[in-house]
Amino acid sequence: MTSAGTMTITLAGTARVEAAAGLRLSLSGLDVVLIVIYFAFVLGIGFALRRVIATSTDFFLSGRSLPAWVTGIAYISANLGAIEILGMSASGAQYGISIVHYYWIGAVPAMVFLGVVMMPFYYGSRVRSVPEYLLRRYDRKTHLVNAIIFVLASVLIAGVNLYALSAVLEALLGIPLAVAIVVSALFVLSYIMLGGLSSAIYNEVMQFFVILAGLIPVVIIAMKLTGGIGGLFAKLSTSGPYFTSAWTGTGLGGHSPIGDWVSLVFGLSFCLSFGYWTTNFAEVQRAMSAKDDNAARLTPIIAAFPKALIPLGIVIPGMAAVLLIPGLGEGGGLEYNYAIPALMNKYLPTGVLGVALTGLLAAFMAGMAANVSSFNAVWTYDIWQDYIRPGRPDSYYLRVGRVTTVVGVFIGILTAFIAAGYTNIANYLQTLFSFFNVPIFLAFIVGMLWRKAGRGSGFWGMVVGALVAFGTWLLYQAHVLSFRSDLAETQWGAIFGFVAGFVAMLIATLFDKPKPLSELNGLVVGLQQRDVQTAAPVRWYRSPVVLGFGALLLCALLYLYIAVV
Amino acid sequence: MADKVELTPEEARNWRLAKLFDLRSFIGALFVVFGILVTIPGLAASKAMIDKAAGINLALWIGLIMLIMGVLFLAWVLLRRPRRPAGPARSSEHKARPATSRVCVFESPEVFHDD
Repeated sequence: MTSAGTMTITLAGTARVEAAAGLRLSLSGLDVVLIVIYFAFVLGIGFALRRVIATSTDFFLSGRSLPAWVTGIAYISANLGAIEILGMSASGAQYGISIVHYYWIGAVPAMVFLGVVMMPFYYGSRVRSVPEYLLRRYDRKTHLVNAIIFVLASVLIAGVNLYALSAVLEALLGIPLAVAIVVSALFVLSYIMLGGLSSAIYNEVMQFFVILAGLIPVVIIAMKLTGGIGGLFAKLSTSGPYFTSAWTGTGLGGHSPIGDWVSLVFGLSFCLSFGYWTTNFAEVQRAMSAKDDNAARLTPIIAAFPKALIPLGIVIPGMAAVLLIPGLGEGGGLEYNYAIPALMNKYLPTGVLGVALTGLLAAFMAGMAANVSSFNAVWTYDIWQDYIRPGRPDSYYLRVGRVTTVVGVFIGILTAFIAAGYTNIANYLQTLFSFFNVPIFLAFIVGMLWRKAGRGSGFWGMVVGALVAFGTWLLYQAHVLSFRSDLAETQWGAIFGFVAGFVAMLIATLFDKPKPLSELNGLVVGLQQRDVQTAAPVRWYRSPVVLGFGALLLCALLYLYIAVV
Repeated sequence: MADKVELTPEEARNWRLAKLFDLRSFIGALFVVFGILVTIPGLAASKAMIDKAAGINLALWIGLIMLIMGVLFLAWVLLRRPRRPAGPARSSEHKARPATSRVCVFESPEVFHDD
């Protein structure tokens, strides 16, 4: 959005890339062997897990059996797709250190909030998907709007991600675009078909460790060559006042392109990131598959710790690449998106390069797999079972889930080819869906905290909020409203949408009788349900509140560190 | 409170398989293989390889770290075997026996809305 060929910064890890050439990795035989071994493992896991899938809950929610460390890593990993890795390091190279706001106030507080406040409602009410919560808290039209938007958006995002990753594969490995699209999609299809969500989650956890093994050496080398973070900042101080200081220029009259502190705190953190991290089913599904209430609450909080540290492995190397990769981001040079692959190619020796590339490839697929595995659950439970073919035996819905996976992947392939031909259309559609992100969060937070909110109010809050956010964007495009940058517009649009949607919910509630309390069991504050097993006090190191506070403290310390270093 | 539920034969089979296909075994095995394959060129690292990586023998270090990680994961599996499933978590559908293990604020039949 700011320069051609750079991925837009988004919370959802959605991509806007254009195919780019210029960087071809030089792989040895050993590197290729490592990649092949990894993907043999992935398929092996699929076949192994196939034998433990007996019901639809096994397929869509891993039988609600996973420990917190697994779901926690999967929660972070579903977001740590390659698009996130390439896009955020590109943003680091382009905007500098202020990109850490997207992690330390734009993600971690939302994850802690999900674990501490919201998860008991999701897990305790035993809903099987995020839209299903809206069905029980509000009414069918609220539910249907959310389910349809989610299904459409996830297929679209899966397709666009597929295109983006194939474009990168084409550039790095020289695989033709069409082959890359089809092969990656079929690979994702086969392992989800076999093992369902468990397969997706197992791979996310493996991928997390592999991508770490690939990123850490890059950080070590970047730090050694630039003299640590302090040395890096000193060397980059010529790049402008905002480049090495996260908060400079974020006053209301300032000029930092990242936005001002009001829009950062309320727009980015409260509206946008809470909307993404707490209501996006691709994320929340991981927590719902946890084995008990406390494990579900710990899921996003365990994920918050790596999320707080990830910018050190992504944004900092991106910034270092400005110094280490000559011509990066300049006309004729390599695009910002290739900051991390270029560093890997330049510095990593045989073997380590193979591991790093395996991590990137795995991350590409994990992003798509997360979309597909949440898409098939919402389609099967929230659309097929609720509106089209209710009341069939469970084995029927398991079959529907498998068929849906195939259909979803094929629509994804189709979307990828459309995105390849009409990149702008795909980008506009993604923008369009993003307007629903914040109002959906509004419906959840009001629904959970205010038991009098009427049954129709969720629908009106969503529609009005999305329309106002959309209107703000239109007026900005037409130059009627002006903001300091596109990023700032997104943040302010989210704030306007949230406030307008909230007013709409209040008005709708006036004309609507509240739901009787008996229908709100487990869904609103004061009526939570908890597992007996986990309602008992837990030790401090398993307490969501203590760990959540620790994650926030870590972010505060990191802010302090980059300010004084 | 149902912490030791009777397993159906199918659940017992699932549990045996789950034990065999514990995620930790996969991660452990993968990293042992990766560790060995990366450490070997690290042991015989040429000067060119070390120079490329800013004077650090990265293959050796990263290879050994991955190897140790893999061994730790395998040791973890051996030391802490997967436990028998407790409560309704492992049951195929939660409606099967929910009331025994959950607190309900109201005894409403609507509580466990399901298909």
